[in-house]
Amino acid sequence: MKLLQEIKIPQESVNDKFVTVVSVLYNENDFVEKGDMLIELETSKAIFTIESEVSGYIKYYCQVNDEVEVNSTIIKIFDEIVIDSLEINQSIQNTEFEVNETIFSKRAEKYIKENNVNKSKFKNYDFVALDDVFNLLGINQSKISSDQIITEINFEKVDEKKVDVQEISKNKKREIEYLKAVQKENLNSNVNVFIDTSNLFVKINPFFKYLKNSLLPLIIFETSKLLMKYPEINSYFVNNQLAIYKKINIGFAIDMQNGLKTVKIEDTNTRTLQEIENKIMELSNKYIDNKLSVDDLSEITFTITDLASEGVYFFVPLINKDNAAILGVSANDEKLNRTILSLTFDHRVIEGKKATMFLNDLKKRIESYKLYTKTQIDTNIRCYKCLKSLKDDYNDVGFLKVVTKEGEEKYICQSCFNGF
Amino acid sequence: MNKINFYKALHIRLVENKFLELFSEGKLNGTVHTSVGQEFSALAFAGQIEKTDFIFSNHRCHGHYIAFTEDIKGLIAELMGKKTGTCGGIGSSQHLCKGNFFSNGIQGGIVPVSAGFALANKLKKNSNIGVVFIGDGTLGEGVLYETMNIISKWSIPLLIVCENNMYAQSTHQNITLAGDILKRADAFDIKTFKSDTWNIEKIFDNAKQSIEYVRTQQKPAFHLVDTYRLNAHSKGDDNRNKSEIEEFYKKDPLNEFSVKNPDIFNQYLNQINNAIEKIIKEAENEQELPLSDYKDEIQYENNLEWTKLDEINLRQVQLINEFFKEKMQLSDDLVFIGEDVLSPYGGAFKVSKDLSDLYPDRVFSTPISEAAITGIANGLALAGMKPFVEIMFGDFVTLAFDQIVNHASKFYHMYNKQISCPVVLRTPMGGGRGYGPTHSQSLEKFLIGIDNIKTIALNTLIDPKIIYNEIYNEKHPVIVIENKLDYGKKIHKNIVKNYKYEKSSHQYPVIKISPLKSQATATIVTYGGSANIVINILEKLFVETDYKFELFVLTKINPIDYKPIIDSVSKTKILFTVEEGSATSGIGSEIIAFVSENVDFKILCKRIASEPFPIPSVKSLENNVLPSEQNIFFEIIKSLNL
Repeated sequence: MKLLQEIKIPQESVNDKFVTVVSVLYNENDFVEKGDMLIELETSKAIFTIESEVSGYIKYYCQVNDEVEVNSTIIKIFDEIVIDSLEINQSIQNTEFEVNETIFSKRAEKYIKENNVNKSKFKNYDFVALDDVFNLLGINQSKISSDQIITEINFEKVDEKKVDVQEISKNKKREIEYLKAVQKENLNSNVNVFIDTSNLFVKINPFFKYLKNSLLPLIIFETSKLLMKYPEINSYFVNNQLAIYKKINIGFAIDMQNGLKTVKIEDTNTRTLQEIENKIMELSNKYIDNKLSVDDLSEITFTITDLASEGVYFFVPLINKDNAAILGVSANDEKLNRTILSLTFDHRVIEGKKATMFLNDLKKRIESYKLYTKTQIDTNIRCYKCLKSLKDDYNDVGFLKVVTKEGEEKYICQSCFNGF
Repeated sequence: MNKINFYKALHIRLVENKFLELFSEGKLNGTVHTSVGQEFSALAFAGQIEKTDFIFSNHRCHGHYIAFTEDIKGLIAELMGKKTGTCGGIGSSQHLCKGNFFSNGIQGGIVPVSAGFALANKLKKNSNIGVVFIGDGTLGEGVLYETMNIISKWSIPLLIVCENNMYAQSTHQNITLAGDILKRADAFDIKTFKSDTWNIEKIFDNAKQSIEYVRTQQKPAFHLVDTYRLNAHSKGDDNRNKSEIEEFYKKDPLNEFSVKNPDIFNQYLNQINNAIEKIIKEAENEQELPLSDYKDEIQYENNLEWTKLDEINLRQVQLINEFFKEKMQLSDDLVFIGEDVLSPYGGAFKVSKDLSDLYPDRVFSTPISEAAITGIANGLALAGMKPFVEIMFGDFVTLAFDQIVNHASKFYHMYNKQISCPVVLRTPMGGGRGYGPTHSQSLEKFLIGIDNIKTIALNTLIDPKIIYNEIYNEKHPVIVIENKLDYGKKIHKNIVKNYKYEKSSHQYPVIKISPLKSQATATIVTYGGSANIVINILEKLFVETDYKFELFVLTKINPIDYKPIIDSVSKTKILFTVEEGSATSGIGSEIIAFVSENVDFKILCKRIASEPFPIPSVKSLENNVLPSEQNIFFEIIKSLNL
């Protein structure tokens, strides 16, 4: 048996010490031809494949989802089939140390018994802890304690009734490590767009009873709809995981004589424009009267801060605790007829591209009100994606009728259609 | 009487007066003890002894130094803190070393050291002798009498010169001294001589006589010299009666000489002062020793290899005994000193079994004098021998503490690396035998962090002969902690299922006991006798806690080789330390502090140690106070919140 080629992980990117095995393209001992794709690997920036430089029988030294260190051997190609190579390899490492009897921890033993796990599966193990059982059974345990990529973790309690906890991708973790080295804990980024406000206020002012020449209610309204499309913006980063809120509770910042407070409009996405305006007024009055309840201030899932009345033409807002992003609304520049929207977001959760898409969607939705004509259609037609009713849609185009995956006929608004 | 002696005496006096002047000008750091009035004692002994002989002096040593070495330049530069000084400015006034001249500022402690140096001469059969200078104040130190007993019993060629100036610092001896000085030496059957510094011719003759007695008879002698220091003990600490000083001032031979021979005296005065001025001018332009030349960095070995441990079917004590039998045959410099070590008894724990039958000249069974025998070993080591002292119980090491801390630990550096002290001190620690509060302690926490001393703890996982062979080659002092319960155990016999046992490639290997295949999820560090206790509960710990433990057994507990511990804790983030001493300021405190300083994450840690009160003798209580299997297990469970 002759070794024809040994493949080590190349240093594809200077930032990565580890890459992830995305897929293994052959079975053990398959014959591969020179030039065949053998394995797919993922770095923090890209996915790449490795080709064989020779023809021969392949043996892998890694599995899918393994985190493999750069420069370590992952594949060997031999001139003949390697018989029982795994065991040979293990016996080389352990010739001096033989396992005669596997020892189980009480917890492992209990789990095995309760779940009727076949103990013989652990034949070559020295010690079997509960984690070993989970690993063997492929139970997706939170592997945070053994996570080598992010070393510093302060565990926080997460209420799983209110959020869905999802694993963050390995790439994202690597990216955190990478960004953190430079920026420590501050991994926020910021994107901005401007809204062309020429002819906009004229169109929207008639909707409101109190809040004339203000974009705030409209922005709250449209953002709440958009957050259904972008759930990760309605979330927060905790324990190296992503916690996505099940509800959309937009908070808006008020700072008058009683200090800075962020108050909540509960279930924002279910409310009409008028309801939102009323809610803003109600909460502002409560603020002035110092009558805000704890409930008015808690469980905010996304925050909007409007400095239009302060005459600020551009600013970078800071994200509140347990949020992944915050939207800043600047004053309208009356000469240029524009207002800047500024989104600060937690880069550990949200990609720059996603943030930009979100902000541009929002811009389009707001600007679409310029096309509003007074024709009001009183129907129950709703966009099946964002649940916006035709009544609430001030776009001139109307909704499209589409056939869903399930074969049903539904309506879709033009904003959702753009991302369809 | 040869006039040259007045010249030399005046030289000593003028150098010392110059020191006081330089001190008041702020040009000397520290302090100066002058011997003005006592110069002829220095000249009679240090000036007449052979250069192949040796001198050990005390805090008031300038006269002795000049009389023996005539190195005025080195002394002045030393006190001025210059690199060219005798000891590079490190030792200054009280800590001098040049050739066979040594001094140390600790009262009494130098006496056993000089006895050891003299014993080395005797073993080498070179007919060299030594003089140790003490003052009447030193007569209050117990170690002096321990040593007088031994030098008399062993016929060690050492001359003790007691310069009796009647004052210990500011206290007159009528407050502190009982009985008769010479009778004290008499009681040990040591030949005595008596002189004073006012009958100069006589002191020179007597000194010569006593030196020759010690050399020809190869026996010790005690020479009392009545004298008077005309200056304060140091500088401003003088409450003596002015008229008393005045009387001795007139009587002083140098002052009498100046009155009788003013021309010659003035001629000497000018000549010497000019010479001193010239030296000071030169010294003023000289450099100080840079810290980098003085300081030694601790070297940590980082490229480690791990190899399997070997099982040996012999008890630890047999292997230690074999080491001495084999090594003493190969090496003439190895000397074994301890209490009760002669055959057939062979020491309280039988380490020296048969040794005195094989090497009767180099095995010394001593009186119960831990301070003196450790000091003697220090002296042997300074003289180029390789002494191994046995302190019968670790608890008694406190009696030898001055010799460890102020002598063995200091010589190499305070003499600016001109000489080293490769002494080895072995002692058994640990309880479990019901010996009670003062014979069961593990006092190693007091034996770590001492300058320039390595502390080794034997265990039953590795052959003690390997360890002792390394220790034999050490240039500097080593303290070895043995364990009473380990003596009877065989090497690497305590084997736990599914664990591998490996030793690192360190000079003093770190032993790693880790799961055969799995990655460990918790780390324990221990050493010495506790290793076996922890090994016994490794399996139980896993079964009950779900954590896979990796155990490190250190053989060197000062300085500690931290690399393997940090590597392990970087993966487990959990660190337990186990030791038999109490926890406060212990070995575990040190390990946890160092590891915490050198990792950038939080670790869960706990020191497991003895209870902080004296160890009871009754078995049930003793078991509860010491870190037993149950106690260690309980502490770990508690720390893991299980």
